[in-house]
Amino acid sequence: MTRPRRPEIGTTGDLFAERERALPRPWSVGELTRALRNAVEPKFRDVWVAGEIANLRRQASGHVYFSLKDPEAVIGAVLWASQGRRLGFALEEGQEVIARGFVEIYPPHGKYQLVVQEVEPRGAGAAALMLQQVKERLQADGLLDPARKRPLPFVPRRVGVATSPTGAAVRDFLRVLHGRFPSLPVLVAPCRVQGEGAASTVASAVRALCRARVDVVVVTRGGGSAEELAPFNDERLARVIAACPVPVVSAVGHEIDVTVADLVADVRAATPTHAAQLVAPVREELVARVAALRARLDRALAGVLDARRSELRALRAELADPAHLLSRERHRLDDLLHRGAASARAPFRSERDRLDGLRAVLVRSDPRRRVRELRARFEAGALRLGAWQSKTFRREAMRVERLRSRLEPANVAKLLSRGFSLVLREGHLVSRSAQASEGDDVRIALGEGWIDARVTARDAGEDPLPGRARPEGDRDAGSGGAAIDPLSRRR
Amino acid sequence: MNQPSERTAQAEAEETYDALVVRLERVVAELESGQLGLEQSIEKFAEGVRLARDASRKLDEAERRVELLVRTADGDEEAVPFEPEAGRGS
Repeated sequence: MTRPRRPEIGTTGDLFAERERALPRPWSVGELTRALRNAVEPKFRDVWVAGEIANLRRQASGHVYFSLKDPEAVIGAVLWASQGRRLGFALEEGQEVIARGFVEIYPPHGKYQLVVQEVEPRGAGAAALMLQQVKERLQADGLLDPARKRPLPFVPRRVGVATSPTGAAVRDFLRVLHGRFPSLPVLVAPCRVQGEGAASTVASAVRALCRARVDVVVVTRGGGSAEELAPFNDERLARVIAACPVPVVSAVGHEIDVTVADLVADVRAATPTHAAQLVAPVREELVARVAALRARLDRALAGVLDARRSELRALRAELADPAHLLSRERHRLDDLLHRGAASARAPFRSERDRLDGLRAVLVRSDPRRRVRELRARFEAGALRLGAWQSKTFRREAMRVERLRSRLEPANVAKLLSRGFSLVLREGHLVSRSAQASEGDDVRIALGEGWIDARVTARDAGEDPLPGRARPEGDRDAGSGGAAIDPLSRRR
Repeated sequence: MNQPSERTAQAEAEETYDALVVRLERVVAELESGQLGLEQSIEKFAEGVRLARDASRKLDEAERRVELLVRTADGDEEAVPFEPEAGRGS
């Protein structure tokens, strides 16, 4: 920081500079204020201050300015509107409160003040403050973590109770507990549950129960004022409860009272009797449940045995009766055959196939079709008949011809053997005299052998057999055209 | 062979009532399913009977004792019978 200098005319600045340097260096107001601020503010960032409210002024903006005072001193305070809205009660002039906030130095006004974050009415507030601080520390150590909560044993073998042996709480607790589970053992660790030093006696009792063999610890007392319940907000007690190796049930005061012990315990019960309900099941229900399970066990085994027995009986019956066995096998075989046949028929089984089959039958049985068919057959037959006729004709004609041709030589030979002759001229049969002339050489075929001859004479051909006296002529021979005189042969 | 079964028996004796009942319920369910063979069924049944007996015993054996922890002259703790005074019928 440079200080302003006022150099004077005609003097050397050095001399004055020497003198000035000898003087203590003054702070500027700003410097000092800043220095104070740096020194003070970090030390009072989060403070709780108890005092009485004075000079309460509410701004239209919602900010509230007031002073906190006690017999010795006064400090200005401000509650910004944003914090003020969260306040659960109205600040009043003369009210004893505990305020939480930080100290701020405001250079323009040269004042320090408390910027209030939370306010609680005093009395309840003092306890609340303590409670808040205890909670914060326990929270910081993770003792309020819901994950730490342990479930209660279903049926504890012994229940430990830390309470006053003379209070109503223990009576109520035992009455309800033994009403539910008459024979449940209980160990009571006596302690004072209110007043100065009560917290440490409760803590000792809980520790003693943890050492004794109990399955669950109940910390309880009946309803009372906030001061009476105060021991159960004790931090050391809370830590003893948290450290207990078995689950802890806290039942302090009435339902509306929530103590630190309640928060740190594994289970919070609203009242001592509620604690008893949580700790002990109803024994009769358990007995009934075991009995029901036992009965089911018997029935289940009986069921298993019955099932096996009837299986066995069925098997034995089969063994005793081979016919039965055979019949069963036969049934099986039948089944298999049926299945085989069915699968063989399968290709025709479809309705379409069946329909096609029926249609074919129907078409076949159509009378018009039948007529057509018959006509066709008839016509074909007629045709064939015609063909047959002409063919047969030809064949017969040929046959006659053949027979005839076979017949002729045979007749000739027969005739020849009977004495007739054939006259051949130059290989041709001579059947009429006109066919030969005088001087022609002819061959005469006989029944056996032949004769060559020369025609010496011939007639005109009127009478083939001159001089013949027989009344009945052999027309056949005559018509045969052979100009052979049979008599001549006989002669 | 003997050792493990003894240990099992001991473990069963140590088991809590609810653990016994949970096991008993499982055994009953298995047996009721009818899926076990005869020998297995009989084994399960025997186990179930044992569990039911133990569970019942656990409910029965508790002897109603209400005791008060007191500190003796030499600083030890001692449990003495305790009867909360008066007001029992309240």
